[in-house]
Amino acid sequence: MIYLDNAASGWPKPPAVGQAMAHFMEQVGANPGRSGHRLAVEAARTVYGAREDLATLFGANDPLRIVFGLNATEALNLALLGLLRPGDHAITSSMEHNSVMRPLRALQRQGVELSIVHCSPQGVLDPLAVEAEIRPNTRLIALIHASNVVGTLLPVSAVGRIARRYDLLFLVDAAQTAGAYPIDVEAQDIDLLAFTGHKALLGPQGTGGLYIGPRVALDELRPLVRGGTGSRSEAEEQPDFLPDRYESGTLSGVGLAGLAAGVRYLLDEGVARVREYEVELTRRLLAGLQRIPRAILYGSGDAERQIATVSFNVAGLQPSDVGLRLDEEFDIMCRVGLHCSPGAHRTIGTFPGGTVRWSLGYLNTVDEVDAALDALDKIARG
Amino acid sequence: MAVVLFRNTQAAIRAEQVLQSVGVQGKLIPTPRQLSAECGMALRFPRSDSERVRTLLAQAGLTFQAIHEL
Repeated sequence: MIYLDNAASGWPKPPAVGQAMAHFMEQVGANPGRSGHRLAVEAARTVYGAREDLATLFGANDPLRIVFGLNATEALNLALLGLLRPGDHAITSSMEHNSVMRPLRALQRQGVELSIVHCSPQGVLDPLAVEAEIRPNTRLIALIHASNVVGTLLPVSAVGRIARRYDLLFLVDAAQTAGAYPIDVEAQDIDLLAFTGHKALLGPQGTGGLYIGPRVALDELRPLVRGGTGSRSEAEEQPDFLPDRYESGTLSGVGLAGLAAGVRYLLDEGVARVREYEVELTRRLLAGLQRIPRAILYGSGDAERQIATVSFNVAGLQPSDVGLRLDEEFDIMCRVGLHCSPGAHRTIGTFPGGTVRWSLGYLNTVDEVDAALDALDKIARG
Repeated sequence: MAVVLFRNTQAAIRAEQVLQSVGVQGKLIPTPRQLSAECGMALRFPRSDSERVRTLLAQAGLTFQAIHEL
């Protein structure tokens, strides 16, 4: 079987991830942040280790600024619903995933003004076009780091500089890039970074979170969920410090044990090396796709300007038919359709039919890429 | 012995790391019941290290609730 759906969920995971989770289930098990007994301390250490490793990965100097939650979608909802008030203005791009667009559209109906900056059909964003949208009441710029449809990287550093210059907050959706592409929240002027554990971070589903930088005033970021935090227990008010303010209820200790193992694996390999490998694989894939006569390729066509995610169609075939044949005849797993990003498909010109998406991960191989190209070639020839 | 009280367990874990990195004997224990604390985990260490612990925590930017001598 060839798994080319890493943009949906990274798989397989390094063996250490499952091992860490099994160890937690069998040897640790306790609630990570409540009691003071030895097992609870062990569980709390596990969670803290995950915070630390993610802080290192993202260039954040304080692990307590990493707030954990269910996934990147929840983190994005926290940032958007927590910060934006009626009368505020927010700027975003035309390549966003629904985890950014749906909260923004709901906020728009409540009186938040929204500007959507158009990207080119290749998914490229001009930072100056973002700057041109800034108004006196602009509060926030929210951008996807790299498109989950065509992989194109957005100019996060340039937009971060702009946001800083105008004293705006900058939210980056790193669901597709965390673990696969270098991120430095300080150097890139990122105030809020949403990440998910189960894609390129190689952890399990059910983990993710939000980095909250020092320019975000906590009293201006409303918690999504309030409840028990294992702190300030004599008070019935939500704590006002990190990470507790945004972490109510029991965290997934087992999930974070797995995520910590995934992140540690990436830190050992080095994100630069992961990136280099994925660029090579993407380059090979793009070159192969360009040789298939009826294949229509989307995106920039340049492996350096994108992550390892590629969208294409086969002229004359529905994406769903291509996907089904890849699965049934060739045992190749991928995702077809609109990929929860209708805006991105509108931008690249594939709405409403969608595309076939192949998304590679660090554990994919050259042989798998070649075999997939071979399979597509057969399908394209009919 | 003395204990440092924190406002959350993650800060306590970090403090344990900070102390361990310079060889101060710190142990995470359930917060003694007679002490009013905001979280269930406290860090116990030798009383003679009190000043050193204060300095270390300040250098690490770690806010703590109180240090009590037992």
